[in-house]
Amino acid sequence: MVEGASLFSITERIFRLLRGEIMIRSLLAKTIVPVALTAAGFIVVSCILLYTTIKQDMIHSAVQYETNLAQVVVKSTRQTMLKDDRDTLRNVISNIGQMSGVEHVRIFNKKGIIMFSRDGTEVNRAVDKQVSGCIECHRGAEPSQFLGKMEQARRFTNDRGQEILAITAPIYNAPDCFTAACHAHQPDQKILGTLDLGLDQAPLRKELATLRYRMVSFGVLLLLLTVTGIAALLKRSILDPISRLARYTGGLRRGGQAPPFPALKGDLAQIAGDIRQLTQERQSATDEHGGPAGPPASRGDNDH
Amino acid sequence: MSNSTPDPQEQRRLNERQNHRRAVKKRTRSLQIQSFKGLFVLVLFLMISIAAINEFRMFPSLSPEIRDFLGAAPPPDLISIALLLYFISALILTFARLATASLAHGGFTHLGYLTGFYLFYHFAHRLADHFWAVFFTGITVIGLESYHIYLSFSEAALREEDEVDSFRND
Repeated sequence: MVEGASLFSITERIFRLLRGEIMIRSLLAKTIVPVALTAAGFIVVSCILLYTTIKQDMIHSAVQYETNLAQVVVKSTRQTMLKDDRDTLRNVISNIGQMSGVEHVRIFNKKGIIMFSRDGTEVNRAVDKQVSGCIECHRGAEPSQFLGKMEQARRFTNDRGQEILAITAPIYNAPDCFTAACHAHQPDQKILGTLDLGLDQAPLRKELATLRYRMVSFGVLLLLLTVTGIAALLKRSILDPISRLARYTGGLRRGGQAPPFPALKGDLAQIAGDIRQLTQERQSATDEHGGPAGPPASRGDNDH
Repeated sequence: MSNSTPDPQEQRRLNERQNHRRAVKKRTRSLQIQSFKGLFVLVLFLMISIAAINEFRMFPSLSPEIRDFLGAAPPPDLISIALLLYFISALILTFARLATASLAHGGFTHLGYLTGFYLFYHFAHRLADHFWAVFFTGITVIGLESYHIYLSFSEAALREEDEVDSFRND
């Protein structure tokens, strides 16, 4: 009989514990899930927008750098072009092409035929004017004479799977070109040829990967901090006081010696005070009517 | 044991109560169904996102005349600022509704805004870069809105059920 009673008591305790756990879990879920979802969403969206903006800025910088580099090449080869020193120009182009990170460097004439290139097999080949890098100028009936810096740039993946940023820099006609004795150009000719310079984007990709890694780490840390902070505050301000209130009201229900009033503040203290008063009034009424001074009936206790 | 005929007035009252109970039950059922409206909006958003990740290739492209009529797309940076502003205001609005247990919600409105952002980025030729930003904005806003709809309508349904229970107890 005693064994049966203790088993019943243990089972009741387990159920009470489970009920308590379910309540806390439900409260936690109701409060933490929306907050965590919102914080995560906001951090992810902000990081994506920030990353996209920084990526775009870095690509702009790379284009700017490469355009300047192309201008340096055009300026430094100008004298050899004026002198029609093709061997020196071929050497210059070949040397630039051997630099690390340079995927291709070539000069086209106005008809689109490759005159000089790092890759000797390309020389004298005509390029398709409808491909990226050419179409920007050759879209209309009359080719454009001027392009913005971003329009001069094109990005593509080569046969070896490398991501390339290429710049096409026009070589403009100038008075010393059409008045030179070597090979006279017509003064009305605006563009004499084009320099095409392509650089491997591996360093930029590496920097972007590092940026992504740092942003993900920062986002995860921020999310953890936010959710942990909110969970700690909720536990301290809501869940613990509710647990104390639940223990106190449970003690009152069981009867016997009244449990000590819990350390509560505000509304919860008022609820605890009201419950204590109700229990005392009920107890007094029971005593006056000479009834048994047992514990007050609670839900589930009076259904026999 | 005698077969007593019920009082007609009592019978009418019983019928009225039964009709009222049926109406409340119907309302409860409708509220329960509406509590899943958020999920429906979420599914629609996922379908639009699938179209967006494929750059809306399944739809015919706009004719040059319509493109000219629409004019140039806004700069992507401005679209991103608008997206961030929309995101913050949508969260504040949904949290305010959650706090007041209001039955008002903006599920389909959010769907419209988010589709608009996809289209703006698409016409600015920058959807590939910004797809995930719009996607996560949508998941967060519609997810929170669905949670609000579910909570509010479930609570309203519970209140109606309590009303039915009180008839039963009468």
